[in-house]
Amino acid sequence: MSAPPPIGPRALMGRSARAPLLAGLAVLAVTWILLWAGQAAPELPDTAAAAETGSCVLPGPEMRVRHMDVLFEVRDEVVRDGRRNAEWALHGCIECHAVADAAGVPVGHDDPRHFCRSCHDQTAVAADCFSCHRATPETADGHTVAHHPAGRAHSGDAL
Amino acid sequence: MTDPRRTSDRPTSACPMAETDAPRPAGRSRRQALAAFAAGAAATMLAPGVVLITGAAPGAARPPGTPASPAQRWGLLIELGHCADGCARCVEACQTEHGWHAGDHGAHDPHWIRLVSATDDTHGRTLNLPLMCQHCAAPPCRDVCPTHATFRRADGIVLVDRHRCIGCRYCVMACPFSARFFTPGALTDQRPHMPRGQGTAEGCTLCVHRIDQGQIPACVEACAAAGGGAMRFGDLADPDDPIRAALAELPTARLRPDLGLGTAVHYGDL
Repeated sequence: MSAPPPIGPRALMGRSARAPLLAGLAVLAVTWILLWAGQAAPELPDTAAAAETGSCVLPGPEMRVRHMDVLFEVRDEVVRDGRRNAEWALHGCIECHAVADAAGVPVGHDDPRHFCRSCHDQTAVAADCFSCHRATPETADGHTVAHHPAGRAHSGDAL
Repeated sequence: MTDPRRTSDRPTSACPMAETDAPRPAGRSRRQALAAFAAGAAATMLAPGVVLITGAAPGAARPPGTPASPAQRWGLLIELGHCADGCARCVEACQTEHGWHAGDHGAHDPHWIRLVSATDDTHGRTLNLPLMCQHCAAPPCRDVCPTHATFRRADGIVLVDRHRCIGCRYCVMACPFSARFFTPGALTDQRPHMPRGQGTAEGCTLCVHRIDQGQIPACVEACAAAGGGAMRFGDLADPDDPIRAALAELPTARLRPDLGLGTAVHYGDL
Protein backbone atom coordinates (compact mmCIF):
# COMPACT_ATOMS: atom_id res chain seq x y z
CA MET A 1 0.00 0.00 0.00
CA SER A 2 1.67 3.21 -1.13
CA ALA A 3 1.70 6.46 0.93
CA PRO A 4 -0.84 9.13 -0.07
CA PRO A 5 0.55 11.90 -2.25
CA PRO A 6 1.96 14.77 -0.13
CA ILE A 7 -0.08 17.95 0.01
CA GLY A 8 0.48 21.42 1.40
CA PRO A 9 3.38 23.92 1.20
CA ARG A 10 5.97 21.30 1.97
CA ALA A 11 4.97 19.44 -1.13
CA LEU A 12 4.93 22.55 -3.28
CA MET A 13 8.42 23.81 -2.47
CA GLY A 14 11.69 22.21 -1.64
CA ARG A 15 14.01 23.01 1.22
CA SER A 16 15.82 25.57 -0.88
CA ALA A 17 12.59 27.51 -1.47
CA ARG A 18 11.55 27.51 2.21
CA ALA A 19 14.71 29.13 3.53
CA PRO A 20 14.13 32.62 2.03
CA LEU A 21 10.52 32.53 3.18
CA LEU A 22 11.50 31.81 6.77
CA ALA A 23 14.16 34.49 6.65
CA GLY A 24 11.60 36.98 5.38
CA LEU A 25 9.17 36.10 8.15
CA ALA A 26 11.90 36.54 10.73
CA VAL A 27 12.75 39.98 9.37
CA LEU A 28 9.08 40.94 9.48
CA ALA A 29 8.74 39.75 13.04
CA VAL A 30 11.82 41.64 14.22
CA THR A 31 10.63 44.78 12.42
CA TRP A 32 7.20 44.54 14.02
CA ILE A 33 8.66 44.03 17.47
CA LEU A 34 10.98 47.00 17.04
CA LEU A 35 8.11 49.20 15.85
CA TRP A 36 5.91 48.08 18.70
CA ALA A 37 8.62 48.71 21.27
CA GLY A 38 9.31 52.14 19.83
CA GLN A 39 5.70 53.25 20.22
CA ALA A 40 5.04 54.77 23.62
CA ALA A 41 2.16 53.26 25.55
CA PRO A 42 -0.64 55.79 26.04
CA GLU A 43 -0.47 57.59 29.36
CA LEU A 44 -2.87 59.75 31.27
CA PRO A 45 -1.87 63.37 30.79
CA ASP A 46 -0.37 64.94 33.90
CA THR A 47 -2.56 67.55 35.48
CA ALA A 48 -2.06 69.84 38.43
CA ALA A 49 -5.21 68.62 40.16
CA ALA A 50 -4.15 64.99 39.88
CA ALA A 51 -0.68 65.82 41.14
CA GLU A 52 -2.16 67.71 44.05
CA THR A 53 -4.39 64.81 45.02
CA GLY A 54 -1.57 62.36 44.61
CA SER A 55 -3.62 59.18 44.61
CA CYS A 56 -6.58 57.83 42.75
CA VAL A 57 -9.46 55.77 44.13
CA LEU A 58 -7.48 52.72 43.02
CA PRO A 59 -3.79 52.31 42.22
CA GLY A 60 -2.92 53.47 38.72
CA PRO A 61 -2.20 50.06 37.19
CA GLU A 62 -5.48 48.75 38.57
CA MET A 63 -7.41 51.74 37.25
CA ARG A 64 -5.85 51.17 33.85
CA VAL A 65 -7.27 47.66 33.74
CA ARG A 66 -10.46 48.03 35.75
CA HIS A 67 -11.75 51.57 35.34
CA MET A 68 -14.53 50.50 33.01
CA ASP A 69 -15.77 47.87 35.44
CA VAL A 70 -15.64 50.36 38.27
CA LEU A 71 -17.62 52.88 36.28
CA PHE A 72 -20.26 50.32 35.34
CA GLU A 73 -20.68 49.13 38.90
CA VAL A 74 -20.77 52.60 40.38
CA ARG A 75 -23.31 53.88 37.87
CA ASP A 76 -25.82 51.19 38.81
CA GLU A 77 -25.22 51.66 42.51
CA VAL A 78 -25.78 55.39 42.27
CA VAL A 79 -28.59 55.61 39.77
CA ARG A 80 -30.65 52.59 40.64
CA ASP A 81 -29.93 52.01 44.32
CA GLY A 82 -29.18 55.55 45.40
CA ARG A 83 -25.87 54.47 46.91
CA ARG A 84 -24.06 57.71 46.40
CA ASN A 85 -20.39 57.93 47.18
CA ALA A 86 -18.79 61.05 45.83
CA GLU A 87 -15.35 59.48 45.99
CA TRP A 88 -16.25 57.19 43.11
CA ALA A 89 -18.17 59.70 41.00
CA LEU A 90 -17.26 60.00 37.35
CA HIS A 91 -17.10 63.72 37.81
CA GLY A 92 -14.30 63.22 40.28
CA CYS A 93 -12.25 61.68 37.47
CA ILE A 94 -12.93 64.73 35.35
CA GLU A 95 -12.07 67.19 38.09
CA CYS A 96 -8.66 65.63 38.53
CA HIS A 97 -7.71 64.66 35.00
CA ALA A 98 -9.25 67.40 32.86
CA VAL A 99 -6.71 68.72 30.36
CA ALA A 100 -6.67 72.43 29.63
CA ASP A 101 -5.76 73.99 26.34
CA ALA A 102 -3.21 76.77 25.87
CA ALA A 103 -5.73 79.32 27.13
CA GLY A 104 -6.34 77.29 30.28
CA VAL A 105 -9.82 76.20 29.24
CA PRO A 106 -10.55 72.50 29.82
CA VAL A 107 -10.99 70.67 26.54
CA GLY A 108 -14.12 68.67 25.82
CA HIS A 109 -14.41 65.10 24.68
CA ASP A 110 -14.49 66.27 21.07
CA ASP A 111 -10.84 67.25 21.49
CA PRO A 112 -8.21 64.50 21.08
CA ARG A 113 -6.36 65.93 24.07
CA HIS A 114 -9.21 64.97 26.42
CA PHE A 115 -7.76 62.60 28.99
CA CYS A 116 -10.11 59.75 28.06
CA ARG A 117 -9.25 60.03 24.41
CA SER A 118 -5.53 60.04 25.10
CA CYS A 119 -5.82 56.28 25.52
CA HIS A 120 -9.15 55.45 23.91
CA ASP A 121 -8.12 56.82 20.52
CA GLN A 122 -5.11 54.56 20.40
CA THR A 123 -7.01 51.50 21.56
CA ALA A 124 -9.94 52.30 19.25
CA VAL A 125 -12.45 51.97 22.08
CA ALA A 126 -15.37 54.36 21.80
CA ALA A 127 -16.77 55.59 25.13
CA ASP A 128 -20.19 57.22 24.95
CA CYS A 129 -20.19 58.49 28.54
CA PHE A 130 -19.97 62.06 27.37
CA SER A 131 -23.04 62.05 25.21
CA CYS A 132 -24.79 62.66 28.55
CA HIS A 133 -22.12 63.32 31.15
CA ARG A 134 -20.27 66.56 31.28
CA ALA A 135 -16.72 66.07 30.01
CA THR A 136 -15.20 69.12 31.67
CA PRO A 137 -15.21 70.56 35.17
CA GLU A 138 -17.98 73.01 35.78
CA THR A 139 -16.52 76.46 36.15
CA ALA A 140 -19.43 78.87 36.08
CA ASP A 141 -21.77 80.01 38.88
CA GLY A 142 -19.65 78.83 41.74
CA HIS A 143 -20.23 75.15 41.25
CA THR A 144 -16.72 74.21 40.30
CA VAL A 145 -15.16 71.61 42.54
CA ALA A 146 -11.72 71.71 40.97
CA HIS A 147 -9.83 72.46 44.14
CA HIS A 148 -11.90 71.19 46.98
CA PRO A 149 -9.90 69.76 49.87
CA ALA A 150 -10.27 66.09 49.05
CA GLY A 151 -9.32 66.68 45.46
CA ARG A 152 -12.39 64.82 44.36
CA ALA A 153 -15.99 65.59 43.60
CA HIS A 154 -18.07 67.04 46.39
CA SER A 155 -20.94 65.00 47.62
CA GLY A 156 -23.44 66.43 45.16
CA ASP A 157 -21.65 65.15 42.11
CA ALA A 158 -22.20 61.47 42.45
CA LEU A 159 -24.78 60.88 39.78
CA MET B 1 -20.95 46.29 44.82
CA THR B 2 -23.99 45.01 43.09
CA ASP B 3 -24.13 43.02 39.92
CA PRO B 4 -24.54 45.57 37.13
CA ARG B 5 -26.25 42.99 34.98
CA ARG B 6 -29.27 42.60 37.14
CA THR B 7 -32.40 44.00 35.61
CA SER B 8 -35.15 43.54 38.13
CA ASP B 9 -36.17 46.74 39.81
CA ARG B 10 -39.83 46.10 40.25
CA PRO B 11 -41.15 46.69 43.75
CA THR B 12 -41.47 43.56 45.78
CA SER B 13 -44.58 44.79 47.51
CA ALA B 14 -47.68 43.04 46.26
CA CYS B 15 -49.67 46.23 46.63
CA PRO B 16 -47.62 49.29 45.83
CA MET B 17 -50.53 51.56 46.64
CA ALA B 18 -50.46 50.53 50.27
CA GLU B 19 -46.90 51.56 50.77
CA THR B 20 -47.59 54.97 52.24
CA ASP B 21 -49.40 53.31 55.10
CA ALA B 22 -46.61 50.90 55.79
CA PRO B 23 -45.54 50.81 59.44
CA ARG B 24 -42.19 52.32 60.13
CA PRO B 25 -39.66 51.23 62.69
CA ALA B 26 -39.63 53.49 65.71
CA GLY B 27 -36.63 55.37 67.01
CA ARG B 28 -35.16 56.25 63.66
CA SER B 29 -32.35 58.75 63.52
CA ARG B 30 -34.37 60.66 60.94
CA ARG B 31 -36.94 61.42 63.56
CA GLN B 32 -34.33 62.65 65.92
CA ALA B 33 -33.05 64.85 63.16
CA LEU B 34 -36.57 66.08 62.55
CA ALA B 35 -37.02 66.86 66.20
CA ALA B 36 -33.81 68.84 66.18
CA PHE B 37 -34.99 70.48 63.01
CA ALA B 38 -38.18 71.66 64.64
CA ALA B 39 -36.54 72.63 67.92
CA GLY B 40 -33.93 74.64 66.12
CA ALA B 41 -36.63 76.85 64.63
CA ALA B 42 -35.54 75.88 61.17
CA ALA B 43 -39.22 75.72 60.39
CA THR B 44 -41.17 78.86 61.06
CA MET B 45 -44.84 78.76 61.82
CA LEU B 46 -46.41 81.47 59.73
CA ALA B 47 -50.06 80.63 60.17
CA PRO B 48 -52.02 77.56 61.21
CA GLY B 49 -50.99 74.80 58.88
CA VAL B 50 -48.50 76.88 56.99
CA VAL B 51 -44.91 76.06 57.62
CA LEU B 52 -42.13 77.85 55.87
CA ILE B 53 -39.34 75.43 55.23
CA THR B 54 -36.17 77.41 55.14
CA GLY B 55 -33.92 75.02 53.33
CA ALA B 56 -32.90 72.79 56.18
CA ALA B 57 -32.95 69.09 55.65
CA PRO B 58 -36.20 67.22 56.11
CA GLY B 59 -34.13 64.26 57.13
CA ALA B 60 -30.56 63.38 57.73
CA ALA B 61 -28.38 62.71 54.73
CA ARG B 62 -27.79 59.06 54.20
CA PRO B 63 -24.21 58.02 54.80
CA PRO B 64 -22.27 57.50 51.57
CA GLY B 65 -22.87 54.07 50.14
CA THR B 66 -26.24 53.59 51.83
CA PRO B 67 -29.03 52.66 49.43
CA ALA B 68 -32.37 54.44 49.26
CA SER B 69 -34.73 53.08 51.88
CA PRO B 70 -38.09 51.50 51.00
CA ALA B 71 -39.33 52.75 54.37
CA GLN B 72 -39.43 56.23 52.91
CA ARG B 73 -41.81 57.70 50.39
CA TRP B 74 -40.87 61.17 49.32
CA GLY B 75 -43.62 63.48 48.23
CA LEU B 76 -44.74 67.05 47.82
CA LEU B 77 -47.61 69.16 49.07
CA ILE B 78 -48.35 72.22 46.97
CA GLU B 79 -50.88 74.70 48.25
CA LEU B 80 -52.08 76.40 45.12
CA GLY B 81 -53.65 79.21 47.09
CA HIS B 82 -50.14 80.42 47.85
CA CYS B 83 -49.06 80.34 44.22
CA ALA B 84 -48.96 83.96 43.11
CA ASP B 85 -49.90 84.94 39.59
CA GLY B 86 -46.82 85.08 37.42
CA CYS B 87 -44.56 83.47 40.00
CA ALA B 88 -42.30 80.90 38.40
CA ARG B 89 -39.61 80.55 41.03
CA CYS B 90 -40.01 76.80 41.12
CA VAL B 91 -39.53 76.52 37.36
CA GLU B 92 -36.53 78.83 37.36
CA ALA B 93 -34.95 76.96 40.25
CA CYS B 94 -35.42 73.66 38.45
CA GLN B 95 -33.85 75.01 35.29
CA THR B 96 -30.86 76.30 37.18
CA GLU B 97 -30.47 73.16 39.21
CA HIS B 98 -30.71 70.75 36.32
CA GLY B 99 -29.61 72.81 33.37
CA TRP B 100 -32.66 72.40 31.14
CA HIS B 101 -34.13 75.22 29.14
CA ALA B 102 -37.31 75.37 27.16
CA GLY B 103 -36.74 76.41 23.58
CA ASP B 104 -39.27 77.29 20.92
CA HIS B 105 -40.67 73.84 20.27
CA GLY B 106 -43.58 74.12 22.65
CA ALA B 107 -44.57 70.88 24.33
CA HIS B 108 -41.62 69.09 22.73
CA ASP B 109 -39.19 71.12 24.81
CA PRO B 110 -38.24 69.87 28.23
CA HIS B 111 -40.47 71.14 31.01
CA TRP B 112 -39.44 69.13 34.02
CA ILE B 113 -41.75 71.44 35.92
CA ARG B 114 -44.18 73.77 34.25
CA LEU B 115 -46.99 76.08 35.26
CA VAL B 116 -50.43 75.05 34.10
CA SER B 117 -53.02 77.77 34.23
CA ALA B 118 -56.61 76.60 34.51
CA THR B 119 -59.71 78.80 34.75
CA ASP B 120 -63.07 77.55 35.91
CA ASP B 121 -65.63 79.03 33.53
CA THR B 122 -68.44 78.99 36.06
CA HIS B 123 -66.87 81.48 38.41
CA GLY B 124 -63.71 82.58 36.65
CA ARG B 125 -61.32 81.36 39.31
CA THR B 126 -57.87 80.72 37.87
CA LEU B 127 -55.38 78.26 39.26
CA ASN B 128 -51.68 78.33 38.57
CA LEU B 129 -50.61 74.79 39.05
CA PRO B 130 -46.96 73.69 39.05
CA LEU B 131 -46.92 70.35 37.31
CA MET B 132 -44.07 67.88 37.32
CA CYS B 133 -43.54 64.14 37.52
CA GLN B 134 -45.99 62.93 40.14
CA HIS B 135 -43.71 60.06 41.18
CA CYS B 136 -46.51 57.53 41.04
CA ALA B 137 -46.58 54.41 43.16
CA ALA B 138 -47.65 52.55 40.01
CA PRO B 139 -46.03 54.62 37.27
CA PRO B 140 -47.28 53.94 33.74
CA CYS B 141 -43.94 55.14 32.34
CA ARG B 142 -42.21 52.37 34.23
CA ASP B 143 -44.75 49.81 33.08
CA VAL B 144 -44.22 50.53 29.39
CA CYS B 145 -40.45 50.87 29.45
CA PRO B 146 -39.02 48.01 27.39
CA THR B 147 -35.53 48.18 28.89
CA HIS B 148 -36.32 48.89 32.56
CA ALA B 149 -34.60 52.23 32.08
CA THR B 150 -37.51 53.88 33.81
CA PHE B 151 -37.62 52.53 37.30
CA ARG B 152 -38.92 53.36 40.71
CA ARG B 153 -36.29 53.75 43.35
CA ALA B 154 -36.79 52.12 46.73
CA ASP B 155 -37.92 55.41 48.24
CA GLY B 156 -40.55 55.97 45.56
CA ILE B 157 -38.71 58.34 43.24
CA VAL B 158 -39.33 57.55 39.57
CA LEU B 159 -36.19 57.99 37.50
CA VAL B 160 -34.76 57.35 34.06
CA ASP B 161 -31.59 55.31 33.96
CA ARG B 162 -30.15 56.82 30.80
CA HIS B 163 -27.61 54.04 30.60
CA ARG B 164 -30.45 51.75 29.60
CA CYS B 165 -32.74 54.22 27.81
CA ILE B 166 -33.03 53.50 24.11
CA GLY B 167 -35.08 56.59 23.36
CA CYS B 168 -38.26 54.76 22.35
CA ARG B 169 -40.41 57.47 23.93
CA TYR B 170 -43.02 55.02 25.21
CA CYS B 171 -42.80 56.69 28.61
CA VAL B 172 -43.42 60.10 27.05
CA MET B 173 -46.64 58.75 25.61
CA ALA B 174 -47.66 56.79 28.70
CA CYS B 175 -47.43 59.58 31.25
CA PRO B 176 -50.91 60.98 31.91
CA PHE B 177 -49.35 64.22 33.15
CA SER B 178 -47.09 64.83 30.15
CA ALA B 179 -44.20 64.95 32.55
CA ARG B 180 -41.73 62.96 30.48
CA PHE B 181 -39.65 64.53 27.75
CA PHE B 182 -37.28 63.42 25.06
CA THR B 183 -33.92 64.93 24.28
CA PRO B 184 -33.67 65.01 20.49
CA GLY B 185 -30.36 66.81 20.05
CA ALA B 186 -26.83 66.69 21.37
CA LEU B 187 -26.24 68.63 24.58
CA THR B 188 -23.16 70.12 26.15
CA ASP B 189 -22.52 71.92 29.42
CA GLN B 190 -24.76 69.68 31.49
CA ARG B 191 -24.65 70.07 35.23
CA PRO B 192 -22.13 67.63 36.71
CA HIS B 193 -24.78 65.99 38.89
CA MET B 194 -27.40 65.83 36.14
CA PRO B 195 -26.24 64.05 32.99
CA ARG B 196 -28.63 64.61 30.09
CA GLY B 197 -28.13 63.51 26.54
CA GLN B 198 -29.38 62.95 23.07
CA GLY B 199 -31.80 60.12 22.54
CA THR B 200 -32.87 59.69 26.14
CA ALA B 201 -36.01 60.42 28.12
CA GLU B 202 -35.99 62.68 31.12
CA GLY B 203 -38.19 64.25 33.73
CA CYS B 204 -38.33 65.57 37.27
CA THR B 205 -36.02 63.58 39.56
CA LEU B 206 -37.44 65.18 42.71
CA CYS B 207 -33.84 66.44 43.03
CA VAL B 208 -32.71 62.99 43.99
CA HIS B 209 -29.11 64.16 44.30
CA ARG B 210 -30.16 66.71 46.90
CA ILE B 211 -32.44 64.33 48.78
CA ASP B 212 -29.59 61.88 49.15
CA GLN B 213 -27.66 64.61 50.92
CA GLY B 214 -30.54 65.48 53.20
CA GLN B 215 -31.51 68.58 51.25
CA ILE B 216 -34.94 69.47 49.92
CA PRO B 217 -35.72 69.79 46.19
CA ALA B 218 -34.60 72.99 44.51
CA CYS B 219 -38.16 74.03 43.63
CA VAL B 220 -39.32 73.74 47.24
CA GLU B 221 -36.33 75.66 48.47
CA ALA B 222 -36.86 78.44 45.94
CA CYS B 223 -40.58 78.61 46.67
CA ALA B 224 -39.90 79.04 50.37
CA ALA B 225 -37.13 81.55 49.85
CA ALA B 226 -38.54 83.76 47.13
CA GLY B 227 -41.95 82.44 46.15
CA GLY B 228 -45.20 82.06 48.01
CA GLY B 229 -44.09 79.27 50.31
CA ALA B 230 -46.59 76.98 48.67
CA MET B 231 -44.47 73.86 48.38
CA ARG B 232 -43.56 71.38 51.03
CA PHE B 233 -41.43 68.32 50.78
CA GLY B 234 -41.42 65.39 53.11
CA ASP B 235 -41.65 61.70 53.78
CA LEU B 236 -45.24 60.62 53.20
CA ALA B 237 -44.54 57.32 54.93
CA ASP B 238 -43.37 58.93 58.13
CA PRO B 239 -46.28 59.68 60.49
CA ASP B 240 -44.09 62.16 62.32
CA ASP B 241 -43.17 64.11 59.22
CA PRO B 242 -44.72 67.60 59.16
CA ILE B 243 -46.08 66.91 55.69
CA ARG B 244 -48.29 64.21 57.15
CA ALA B 245 -49.79 66.60 59.68
CA ALA B 246 -50.39 69.13 56.94
CA LEU B 247 -52.04 66.53 54.75
CA ALA B 248 -54.27 65.48 57.62
CA GLU B 249 -55.27 69.05 58.29
CA LEU B 250 -55.64 70.62 54.87
CA PRO B 251 -58.11 69.72 52.16
CA THR B 252 -55.88 68.32 49.47
CA ALA B 253 -56.34 66.31 46.33
CA ARG B 254 -54.18 64.51 43.84
CA LEU B 255 -54.33 64.73 40.09
CA ARG B 256 -56.25 62.06 38.22
CA PRO B 257 -57.16 59.95 41.24
CA ASP B 258 -59.37 57.95 38.89
CA LEU B 259 -56.25 56.37 37.43
CA GLY B 260 -55.23 54.92 40.76
CA LEU B 261 -51.57 55.70 40.25
CA GLY B 262 -50.79 56.62 43.84
CA THR B 263 -49.17 59.90 42.98
CA ALA B 264 -46.84 61.48 45.51
CA VAL B 265 -47.69 65.11 44.76
CA HIS B 266 -50.62 66.44 46.75
CA TYR B 267 -52.29 69.71 45.85
CA GLY B 268 -54.12 71.99 48.23
CA ASP B 269 -56.84 74.35 47.01
CA LEU B 270 -57.14 72.36 43.82
